[in-house]
Amino acid sequence: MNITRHVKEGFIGVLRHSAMSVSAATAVMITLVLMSLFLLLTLNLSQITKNVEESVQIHVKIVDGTSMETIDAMKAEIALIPGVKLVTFSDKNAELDRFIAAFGEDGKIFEMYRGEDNPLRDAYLVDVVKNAPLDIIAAKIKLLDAIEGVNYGGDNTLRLVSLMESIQNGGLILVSILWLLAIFLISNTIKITIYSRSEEIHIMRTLGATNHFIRFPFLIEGILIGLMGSILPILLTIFGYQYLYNALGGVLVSNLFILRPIYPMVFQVSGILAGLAVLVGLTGSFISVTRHLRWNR
Amino acid sequence: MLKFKEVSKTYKNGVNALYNINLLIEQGEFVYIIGPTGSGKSTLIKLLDAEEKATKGSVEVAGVDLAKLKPRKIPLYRRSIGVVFQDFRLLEHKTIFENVLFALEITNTPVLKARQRVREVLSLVDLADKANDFPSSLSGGQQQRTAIARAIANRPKVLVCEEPTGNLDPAKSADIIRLLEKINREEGTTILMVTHDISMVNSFRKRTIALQDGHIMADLHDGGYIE
Repeated sequence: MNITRHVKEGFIGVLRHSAMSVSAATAVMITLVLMSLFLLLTLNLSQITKNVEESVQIHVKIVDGTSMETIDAMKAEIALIPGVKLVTFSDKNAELDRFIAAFGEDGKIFEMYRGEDNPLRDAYLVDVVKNAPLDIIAAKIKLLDAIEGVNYGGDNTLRLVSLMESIQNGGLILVSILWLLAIFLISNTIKITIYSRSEEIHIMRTLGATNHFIRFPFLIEGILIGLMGSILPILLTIFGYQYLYNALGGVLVSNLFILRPIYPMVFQVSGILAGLAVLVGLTGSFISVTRHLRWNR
Repeated sequence: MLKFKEVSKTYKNGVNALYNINLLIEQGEFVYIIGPTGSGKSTLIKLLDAEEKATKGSVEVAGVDLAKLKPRKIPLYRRSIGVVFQDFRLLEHKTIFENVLFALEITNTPVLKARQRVREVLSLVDLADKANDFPSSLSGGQQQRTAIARAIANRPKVLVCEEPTGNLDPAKSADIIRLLEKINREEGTTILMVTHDISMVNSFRKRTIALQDGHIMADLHDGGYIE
């Protein structure tokens, strides 16, 4: 079999049927642009959700003057509560560091409280597993001796986490629908392209060309059209996201919503787009050519 | 060489196209098949082309029994015969050269040999100077000559022509017949030409088989006008 011949035929086919090629590639392009938007959106949403979930931490203040032994014992007890991933002890000093850091440059003025005058308390930082019931864990910790207060951000944190999750799930559903739509739209376009060439296929058969011989160049054409259609979406993904990321300073609204870094994500998304374009072009042309290659004798 | 034995063809919709056809055509013959519309000429071609299968009887071409031909083997069989149609059936997006080359590509002819054969048949049909043109820029007669060149590129034993002059004026038609005669003479190809162009049949006398309503009405070895 002469692969070089078929590949060459595929290229010639795209060029000589330029109007059809362009219209098919445009269909691919439009769907891939939408696909790219949704991919970037869901990837960022999942990143943001993860950030929010990871930043959920129960802050437990310890009564002033509690002995080191009690502190260690309580730490062990908290670690045993179901849903608790990690308990870290943070003494007054460390707490002040955190406090100052939270205020950025302006925090420096709180340095005056370092040492004996430190009004803060020793504390535990409790990390929990994903979807852990924050309120129940907090209540259990509160029951322990020598606990001054427990803070987990309250219901707002819980609501944020669940909101993020539903947005993400919604996005996932949208993307799945879009994928179906894309495959339908593109294979339909390719079907029309090939249908317009059913005469050509028929002539080839009359001359004694095997199905395989007819099909191969069409598959190459499908791949090429898919790739042609993916050029613009890929450029849009790489440069568009770069622009958006830089314009927003890498965050959405507040520091809680940190966007995914540009690299390597844009390349991964581009890879997905190109792969999808090839796959859809290939299957689209395969299905449509095969339709004209049945023997009904 | 080309043998129809008690061949009948009934289409799925109940139309009877051919009844009990017995026909023997020897290698190297040039035969006209004539008859009015609906006489079964097209069905005859479809049987030869393996597009349709005989309902009864056997069709044998160059030693191949078409009734027993598996779909998978049809392409292989089709390469061993050449078919020329009234509507030329050229590949619109390929040049004249590429159209002829295609027939050689499907038989896996080595590239250099194939290109040489294309030039050979194109000069045989007198189209060497049109090699790089597309079919749409050629006249009907030139397009038909391209189709003939393509059909004979693989040196088939049998060349089946379906109304090859149907779309051409008398002068061009005579050119085509003369070309077919040349192929018949020089390449020893059996030629089966289906036509209803009575004037051609009368001018270039050959064995003539007349079909009517699916029956062979006459088989005149000297040819000539049939009433």
